[in-house]
Amino acid sequence: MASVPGTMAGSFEPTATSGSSAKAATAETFNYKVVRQFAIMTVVWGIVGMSVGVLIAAQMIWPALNFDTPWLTFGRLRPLHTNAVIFAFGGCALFAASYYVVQRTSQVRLFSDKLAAFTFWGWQAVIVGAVVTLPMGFTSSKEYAELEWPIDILITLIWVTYAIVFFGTIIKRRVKHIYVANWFFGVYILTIAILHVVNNLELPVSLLGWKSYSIYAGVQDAMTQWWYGHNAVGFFLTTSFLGMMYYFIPKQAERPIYSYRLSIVHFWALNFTYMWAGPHHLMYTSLPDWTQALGMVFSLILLAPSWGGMINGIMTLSGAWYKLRTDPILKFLVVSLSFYGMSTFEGSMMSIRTVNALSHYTDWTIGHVHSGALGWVAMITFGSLYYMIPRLWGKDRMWSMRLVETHFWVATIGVVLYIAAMWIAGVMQGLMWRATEPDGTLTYSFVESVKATYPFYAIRLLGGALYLFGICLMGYNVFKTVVGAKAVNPLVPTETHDPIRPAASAA
Amino acid sequence: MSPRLAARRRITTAWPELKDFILEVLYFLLPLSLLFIGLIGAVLWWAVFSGQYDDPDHASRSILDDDDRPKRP
Repeated sequence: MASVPGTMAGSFEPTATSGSSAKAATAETFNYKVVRQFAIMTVVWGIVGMSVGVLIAAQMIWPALNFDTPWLTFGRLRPLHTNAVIFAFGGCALFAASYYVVQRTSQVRLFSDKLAAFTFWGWQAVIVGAVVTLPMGFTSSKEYAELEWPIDILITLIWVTYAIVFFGTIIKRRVKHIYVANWFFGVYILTIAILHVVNNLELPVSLLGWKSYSIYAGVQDAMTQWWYGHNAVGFFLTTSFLGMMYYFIPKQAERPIYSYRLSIVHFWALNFTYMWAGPHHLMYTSLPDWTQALGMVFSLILLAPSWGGMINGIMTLSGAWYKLRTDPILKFLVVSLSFYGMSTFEGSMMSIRTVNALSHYTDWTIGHVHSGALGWVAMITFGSLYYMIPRLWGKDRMWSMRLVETHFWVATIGVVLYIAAMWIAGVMQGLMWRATEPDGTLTYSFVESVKATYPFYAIRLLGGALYLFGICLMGYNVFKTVVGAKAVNPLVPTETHDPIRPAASAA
Repeated sequence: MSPRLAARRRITTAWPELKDFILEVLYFLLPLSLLFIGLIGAVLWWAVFSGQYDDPDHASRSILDDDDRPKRP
């Protein structure tokens, strides 16, 4: 270490002596503007996406709620719900968090303000495109990749721009070490680019129409889709949010991560195993047996890095557990990790072929997804936003910390009601579908299993509504915090640890 | 014949040729995954030998040294 500052000082001299002109230039500030924009839209799209979710949950009980209107039917609103919560709510949260974290940990302004602004407006255009086209019935029919080809091309453009902004910022960073959170964000950006392009290779029927056909056929198409689908879960909803975890938990707890070495192992182990787990979505299909077995084995191996990461995050609080009593932001962050641990364990178990025989096509899968989405992804997002939003508007804390506490409890009770109802419903459906009489006939007709599920649909609706109410509380709290507050863009500190180059306007 | 139908027919007739190089998608996905892993390996190599992991204790504390609380004038 000692020799490095010496050589650095020499190379810095020209900047220091060229003096007046460099000093006259305005000092470099962080680009918080794009972070603010994405942070606000995260809350807005969260409310929209979860409202649609609650509506379609209600339609499961009262089908008349589609009002005999084609664009309000379950089949069209369900992809709108998933796209809105994953790519609009989750996507905006990831843009906000990754732009905040990469600037703070690299101690440098974003690579390009214009390109960053393009990612914001472009991403909003994609979401509006989804909100219009999905209810109209334009769909590629691939789960989590329903958007048709013109929107797919726009997504590709935005994603490449995102990669340029993010990696450009990493390259011009002023500190030598690339903090582990940035590694997680980086791999998520790269992988999603590849997954998106390969899965959405499609031939438009005409250049003026929305309709296109996938270039893959049959089981190959299914395999490509679930290679994409599972890695979208793995990289869009997991590694990226782990990037949030590795920054916001240590910052909020004011303690370094439990084991930095474990975080490095976590990162590399996750990357080597996640790619292979996709076939577990296609158990007992015409996919070759060996491919199904491969998917199952890698899904089981995946449990090790997943739990390593969870333990690393939770143990960061060792010696500071008392903070959990009073700090609702920390409660959000730590409880999200508990749900991460639960859903990764559950996911590995569900990938075992014999368990999958019971769980597949039932509401257990829906419960599993929401344990991850509501419990892990959304809770860590809420914690991270409650950390960032006051800082982005120059405040010490949110307008009401009691409201944050209320949000935490409402959301937690909502998730637990939701997933418990779906577990019971799913296992019950699986058992009813496979039950046979001694003479080999089915014991229950399908509609009997639907009828038996009604009480659980009602509990699920209640849980979902509570969760929606929670994010509405957050919306109000954010509004009161932000309205009238002055947006701040703090100076990039000139003194920094572990430097490789000086601040743009080093005095 | 409507242009839409004509386009659809073009795709249908082009399909056998398309099938030739896309048919076995696993032969495409497996090399792609292997290539990806090769790239990951290269980045790991760089990270280890460029000194990214030389001082993990300092790296873990580094974010706490950065004061991102709003400055009071």
